[in-house]
Amino acid sequence: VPDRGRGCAPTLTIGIYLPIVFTMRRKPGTLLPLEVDILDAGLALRRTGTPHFYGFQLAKTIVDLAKASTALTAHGTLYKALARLEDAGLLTSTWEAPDTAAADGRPRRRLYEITGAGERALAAHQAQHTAPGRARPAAGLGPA
Amino acid sequence: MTTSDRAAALVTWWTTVYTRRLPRQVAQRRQDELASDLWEQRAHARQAGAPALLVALAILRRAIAGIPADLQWRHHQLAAARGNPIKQPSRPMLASRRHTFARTWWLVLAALLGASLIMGSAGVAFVDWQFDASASRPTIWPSLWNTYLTYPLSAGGILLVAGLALRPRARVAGDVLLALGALPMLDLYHLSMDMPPLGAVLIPIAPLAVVTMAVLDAAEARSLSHSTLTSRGSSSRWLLAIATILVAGLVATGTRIVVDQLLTGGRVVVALMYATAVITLLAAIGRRTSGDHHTT
Repeated sequence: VPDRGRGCAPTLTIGIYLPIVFTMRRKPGTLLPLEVDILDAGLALRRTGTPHFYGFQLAKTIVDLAKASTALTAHGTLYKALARLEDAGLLTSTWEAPDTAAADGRPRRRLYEITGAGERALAAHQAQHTAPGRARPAAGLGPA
Repeated sequence: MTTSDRAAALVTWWTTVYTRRLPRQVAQRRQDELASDLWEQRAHARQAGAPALLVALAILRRAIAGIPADLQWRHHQLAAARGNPIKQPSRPMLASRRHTFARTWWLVLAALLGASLIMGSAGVAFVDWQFDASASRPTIWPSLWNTYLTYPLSAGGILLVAGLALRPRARVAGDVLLALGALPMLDLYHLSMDMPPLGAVLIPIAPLAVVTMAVLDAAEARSLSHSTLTSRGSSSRWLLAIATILVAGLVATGTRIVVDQLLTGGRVVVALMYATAVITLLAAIGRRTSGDHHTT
């Protein structure tokens, strides 16, 4: 039986390959498109002096970076991806102080911040996906 | 309680449904995050002066689009709570394609509809002219019936193409044109009776999907932005004017057909849809607002 974690020995039985395909694990450092968007938007917010960001703000920033041609990320998709990035150590999060939220008369925000590992993962992804000589412009927030 | 508050309440209810029987801390975190998100979206829309109906549509769209992810997240949380966590399968290429497809499927559909409407309506007019000539009728004009048929269809195709071209620059204006352009094809449902099963399903559903997605997308874009359609610049104003004239023509045509066809039920519906769509979309999206501030 092949070692599923490190590839498999050659065999002609397709039935052995199928479970390998369906249990394939993510390679360390591999980012999905929405995760790239999240990290990109988080870093863009940091550049504008907002290192901590919350869910709706992030979704709105992703739309702004896409020049408004894309829709707001769905609730379930967004928070599932945020949790995934946090589990992977690319984001950290904490609840906002209750007093701050109460003073503004709104619910508490869950504040996220990109970690050093998150920055490195995005940089590695961009380096991997940018063709030589075709540097991808750094994402930046335009005027609101 | 506004319409957007009711939509938020519905989403809150859904959140309590799919977090039921999860560990208390996990469920509470998701519910609190959603409560914050819903509040922020409504607060942002209020400051942008967006109508509550459009905000409600934008909120519901986000919630509905996220249902598969919600259920999958619940499944994973339940498994983790039982001490048997599920590892995420990784298929970056598949995920990338799915991500692109989820964002663009209705635009691709709109492009296909636009092309088929323009080519199809031209084909109908041409075939009719040939038929009339062979029948030795002393006319070079298409029959009255085909004039009525091709005019709304070709106008719809032009609107779809114009909407796709405009959307990257002005999302709301582009969406309005896409919605108006797909409307005439809803009138083709009667053709689906003669189609193979796939066509019978696609002909009514495809334009309906484009209209629905365009309206939802316009609602969200409008709820995020301060700009009204009419303040977008002269090009948008011109396109809006052209769209209005075209749709007014469609309404007039539809009304005439209603008379000619002795009030056939389907055409009454279509004529009413044109009128309702124009009034609703232009009133809601082009409505001037008082908001001057912007939140981040």
